[in-house]
Amino acid sequence: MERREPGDASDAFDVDGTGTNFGAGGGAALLYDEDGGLVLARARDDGRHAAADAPAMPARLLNGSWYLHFVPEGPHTAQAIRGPMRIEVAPPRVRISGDVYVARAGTGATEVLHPFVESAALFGRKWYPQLPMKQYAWHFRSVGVEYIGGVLTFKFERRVWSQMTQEFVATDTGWMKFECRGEITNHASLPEPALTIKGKAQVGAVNYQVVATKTSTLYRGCKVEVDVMTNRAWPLTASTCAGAEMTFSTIYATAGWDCPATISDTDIPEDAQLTTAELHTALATHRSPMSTTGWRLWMLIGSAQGTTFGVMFDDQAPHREGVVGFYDPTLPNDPLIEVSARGQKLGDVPAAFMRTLVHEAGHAFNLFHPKHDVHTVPIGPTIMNQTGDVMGFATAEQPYPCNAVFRFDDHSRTSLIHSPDPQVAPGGKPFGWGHGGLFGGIAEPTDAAGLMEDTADSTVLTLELKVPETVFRGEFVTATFVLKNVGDEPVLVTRALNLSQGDLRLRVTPPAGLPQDVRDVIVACGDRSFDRLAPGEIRESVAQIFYTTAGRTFRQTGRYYVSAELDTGTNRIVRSAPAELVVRAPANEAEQEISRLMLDDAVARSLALGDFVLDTDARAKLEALADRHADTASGAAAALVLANALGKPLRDVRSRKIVRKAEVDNARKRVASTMKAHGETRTVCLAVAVAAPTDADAAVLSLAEDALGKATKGRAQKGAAKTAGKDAPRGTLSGLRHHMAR
Amino acid sequence: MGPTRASSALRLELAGPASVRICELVRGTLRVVNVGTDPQTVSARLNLAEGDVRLRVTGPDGSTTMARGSRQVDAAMRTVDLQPGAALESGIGLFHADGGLMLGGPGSYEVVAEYDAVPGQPPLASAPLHIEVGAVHSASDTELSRLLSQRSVARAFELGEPETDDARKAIESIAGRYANKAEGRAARLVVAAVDGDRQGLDDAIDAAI
Repeated sequence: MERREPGDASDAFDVDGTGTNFGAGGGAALLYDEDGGLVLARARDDGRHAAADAPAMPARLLNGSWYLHFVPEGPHTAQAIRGPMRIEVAPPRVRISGDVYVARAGTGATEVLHPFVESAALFGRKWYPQLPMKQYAWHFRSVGVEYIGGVLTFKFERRVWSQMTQEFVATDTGWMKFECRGEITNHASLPEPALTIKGKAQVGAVNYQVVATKTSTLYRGCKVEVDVMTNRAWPLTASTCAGAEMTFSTIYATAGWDCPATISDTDIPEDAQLTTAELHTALATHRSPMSTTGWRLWMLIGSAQGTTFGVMFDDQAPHREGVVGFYDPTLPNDPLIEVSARGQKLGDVPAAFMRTLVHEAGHAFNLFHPKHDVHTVPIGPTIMNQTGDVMGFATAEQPYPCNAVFRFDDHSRTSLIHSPDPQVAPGGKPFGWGHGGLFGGIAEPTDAAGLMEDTADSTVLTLELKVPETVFRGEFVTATFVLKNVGDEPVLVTRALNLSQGDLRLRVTPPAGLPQDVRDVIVACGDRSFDRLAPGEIRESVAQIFYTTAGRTFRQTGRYYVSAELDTGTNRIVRSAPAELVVRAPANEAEQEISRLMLDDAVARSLALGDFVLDTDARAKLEALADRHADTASGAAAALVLANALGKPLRDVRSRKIVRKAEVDNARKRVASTMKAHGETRTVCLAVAVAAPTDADAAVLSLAEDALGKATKGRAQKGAAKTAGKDAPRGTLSGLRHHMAR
Repeated sequence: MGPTRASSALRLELAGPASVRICELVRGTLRVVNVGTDPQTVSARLNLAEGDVRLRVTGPDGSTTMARGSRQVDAAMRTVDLQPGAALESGIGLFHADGGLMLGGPGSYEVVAEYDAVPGQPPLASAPLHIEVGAVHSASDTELSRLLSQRSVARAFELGEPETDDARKAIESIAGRYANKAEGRAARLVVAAVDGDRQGLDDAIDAAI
């Protein structure tokens, strides 16, 4: 999906707040949105207030960074819905974007519409709302703006963020409307009195009151810490060939960014050539510890890495926190280079070096070279072009760096101002995110809290989800759930640590898809029973997630995100951290055969039900898996399904006649050979996984128990082996069986 | 208005293996040849790293991606004068780029190289290179394939240096365990180059020849 830039103002843009309609020759009766809709018109007509006596604020005062705060109308759960908003006023155009973060209100008293973020990063008397990424909920961009008579109205496109996948997953629209009367807020928490505008919003069909407090005349801020290798220097100022003086900060100010650079260390040890590993080490060891929250970038003035002038080297999580400019490489001895710069070290040519440093910082904010940008940005002499490309535009009359333009191209500037926080913030998404079709599909509108669910999290329980890191397509997959009481008191929890009874849910987000909750195909209903978990006590269960209510859960290759959520049954929810699972293509003939057999519908259902019933073809395929691939998880699962099916006779429910005879010896052999190939513990886990969750007396479990009993006969563990239920050791058959449905 | 067609005096050639297996570090050769009658000044940055070369990769499922260097560096322009009939040649990795592994699974691939040979002119494009990627058979090759597909290892081979200590250990392990394979020799080269080990580099090159 193409990244859209914020929409331009409609014809009725009132530059000076006097209510004049520019370009429309008078008041327009009806103004359509850019996409032909009438959302903006409706918003304009919604609860139109009288202008009141206060004069309209001049539009130029809207320009800058704002702290936006939403409060739902009517009864609502206490949540803090707030974030940065950027209003870019460039008559006749105005563009608005913002990022919204949602946090549950604390248990103490909460001041509604508190105009300041706690622990905000201050830039003198200015500040920029930079909130924890774990609260990030959605991003918006205007798609139709008007400012008439002091009323700012705009429609916006909203992209909703998934904390699980760390991607945008849904899109919808909304609108906001502000009365802009020049009201000043003089709250004690603010570094100085600030402009405030108030109004309404509709987001996901829910109405809100909104308040915005101005934080700066610039749009975003990032502090830059500079460390310098010995015998090199940071260019404090530089001059263009025309004599204009500039600094790193003033160049960024042209793009609306507040980037004060502070020199921290000036004696980084000498090293003639720097490797990337050394740069990472330098970032880790020399960067100052964080004394305040907020965005920050580390910049090294280093020696050299071959002939490269500079690089944004930090492509490890957290991404884009470090860049380097190399002082030592020399500029070519070429007529296209300004005569005093020819053959000189880059660091000795302040304008050229500063250009490179600003350029590399741009990469840290996720800007691309125009020639690499998928948005087809023309190559030219502006900041984000490679030095080589800027040199390509040099002439004898305008050699490099004289021909360099010390500002950002429009595309890069727009990205710096309006792209989502995760895209631009150092430490956010990886380099390259946001320059292609990276947003997910459109879903039903959600409320302003984004995808945050309104449930109370348990503070005394943790849930860990274990899945394999990588599987091949078609491979049998199990998940292990580990529930622990981390509190000081015993806790009552549901015993249904399975995917059948509904207390435990698994959320799976497929590659480039929307998350979905999956459960076992067997649904169990009935009373809920509980366990009391002592402090420090752990419960563990295993489930097959190969075939669920989603069908073959991991049916395509790619990266999946999986997380679990348990309703404890006591009005509390405990959630696991998301786990990544990569599904790759089968890499050899054996894997290809396994994949072909496992992806057969009847085989997949057999694995989910723990029985092939009367399907002889499915049985043959399970036997092929078990016999030819006994040493694999899929082969073992197939063997245990056969054991489960053949361990008991199958009766017709109505006639009670036996329709399939038991083959107990065959079943025992299957279990024994699986234990031999995979060990007791693994076999137990797989046996629990293939048995139907509603069948705690499944044949395969009894057979496994018998086999374990024989194996431990003579070992001084009989006592432990007989311990059952919740007191059974973790990972044992008894312990795992305890959590199956009854 | 600038030229709308690339120079017809220059030809871009991409050569590489017709078939490989998943566990292999795939490399090709890129050449720009002056097929005209006059000298041509072209960019000497015939590599992915400096940004003048891109690879358009069409996979078995028909989808096409544009592969670029994983890292965008800032560098000066470097040019070379090619006399009629002369060529500039460079090895080019067909293994890993900004989007990850280029030949990520079994199947038929088509790779076309694009090259910004002359500033201000449209890029040159090579004829398609067809590569058949097959599955691996042995446990050893499967393990090598797994090692090579790790992001840090794949990037280390693309960039010519491991970025982290863990990546370095993985490269050293490949160098040791697969010393008789091209991948092991390449790993040895990477380690020697990063350490500035001249003797080690010479030994590694001798072993590779």
